[in-house]
Amino acid sequence: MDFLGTNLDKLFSSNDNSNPLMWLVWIVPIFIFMLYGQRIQLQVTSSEINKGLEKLKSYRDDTRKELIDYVKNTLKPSEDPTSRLDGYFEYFTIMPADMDPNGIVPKIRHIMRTREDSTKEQVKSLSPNISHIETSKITNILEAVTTLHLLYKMVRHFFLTAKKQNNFPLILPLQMMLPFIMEEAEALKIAVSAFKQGQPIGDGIGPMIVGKMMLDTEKKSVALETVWSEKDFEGRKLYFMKAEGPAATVGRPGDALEKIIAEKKPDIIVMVDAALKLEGEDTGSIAQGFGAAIGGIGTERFQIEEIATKHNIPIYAIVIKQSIKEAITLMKKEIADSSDKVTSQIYDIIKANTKTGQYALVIGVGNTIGVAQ
Amino acid sequence: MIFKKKEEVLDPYSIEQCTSCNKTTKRKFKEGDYVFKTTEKCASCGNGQMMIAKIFGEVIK
Repeated sequence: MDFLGTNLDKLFSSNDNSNPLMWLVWIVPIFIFMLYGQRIQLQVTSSEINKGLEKLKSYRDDTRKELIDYVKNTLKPSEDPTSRLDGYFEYFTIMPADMDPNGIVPKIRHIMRTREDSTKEQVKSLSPNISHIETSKITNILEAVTTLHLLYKMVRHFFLTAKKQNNFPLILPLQMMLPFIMEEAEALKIAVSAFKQGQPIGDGIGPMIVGKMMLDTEKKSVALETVWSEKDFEGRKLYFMKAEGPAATVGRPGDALEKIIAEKKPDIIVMVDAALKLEGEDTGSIAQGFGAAIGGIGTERFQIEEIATKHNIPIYAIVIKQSIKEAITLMKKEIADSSDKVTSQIYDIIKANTKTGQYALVIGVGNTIGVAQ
Repeated sequence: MIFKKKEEVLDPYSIEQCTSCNKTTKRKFKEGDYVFKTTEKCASCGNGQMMIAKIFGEVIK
């Protein structure tokens, strides 16, 4: 080959190390990468994060619009709720000081309940005729939009700070965390549709199983949005407790347990809940264990563990595995189909760990949207 | 991204079961449905009441 008098075969010949052009071809990129490698990597990573950020923004905006439209169409408020709802999205929670962690759990519980109660009151104030179920649905959608808004703002903050300071190490943890953040964001976006239609979500499998066991029993209110009932089973007395459905609520199982224990003393507690599966595990697979099966910020779990320890009551747990997305979106068939198997496992645990004449308490933990009792 | 994720879309269904003869019917989810909601009399046995036993989503293939 000979182009314009240059012999390319000779130019790139590996035998000739003295060629200055060849020398430049190898050395210049090495210097470029040594001096600007981090910046190039920053540019590549930045464009990837920017795409994620755009997606997060569209999720936030779409869910915000969905919520505003839903409120307008179902509640038909006298004035435009947009500015009020926009104000709610900016709400924040200041966690208690943890320099001395002794006694921090009741403080966290107090703050979280203040937030919950206040949000509910604000949602109720949108329309004088709003029903309890509508309030719970809108409160849950509001939570989803607020979380998406917060995720977007946090990712944007780290991204812009890293770019402003050309700080590559700051962008690395963001790059690593982004797939997890996006998974949660996608789940929250899809969850809004299930909440709007009042469909059961994956997390509602615990209340669904216990709700079925509660059918044909007299249901009594025991704590805020929490019901319980009792039934005889092979010479034993069974108590059932769950959040009051079909509203979108998790109830107050900690408070409810405290009240039940004051009246009756169960010999065992069985808790049924959804649990996050590990990658590779099957959706709807069941596992048994020990301890309080309840998620959330940890205050309810603390309360239940404290009561059980004080009264020396063993806690057994059954969990139904699912991903974060499956837990907050429409319940999948595999999860719903696990209910009969879990029910028989609950009865097996009761038979194996109590004698005739003893008492067992079964708690269905989770958001009971679309599931009555 | 190296591994492209396949988008899953779920179609919601309600399973109704007769409280007397246990006959089950599967139908599309309707707004207002919830689990353990009693609906109409059982068309099969005429005695029992139909109740929504499950609501779930099936992946559209």
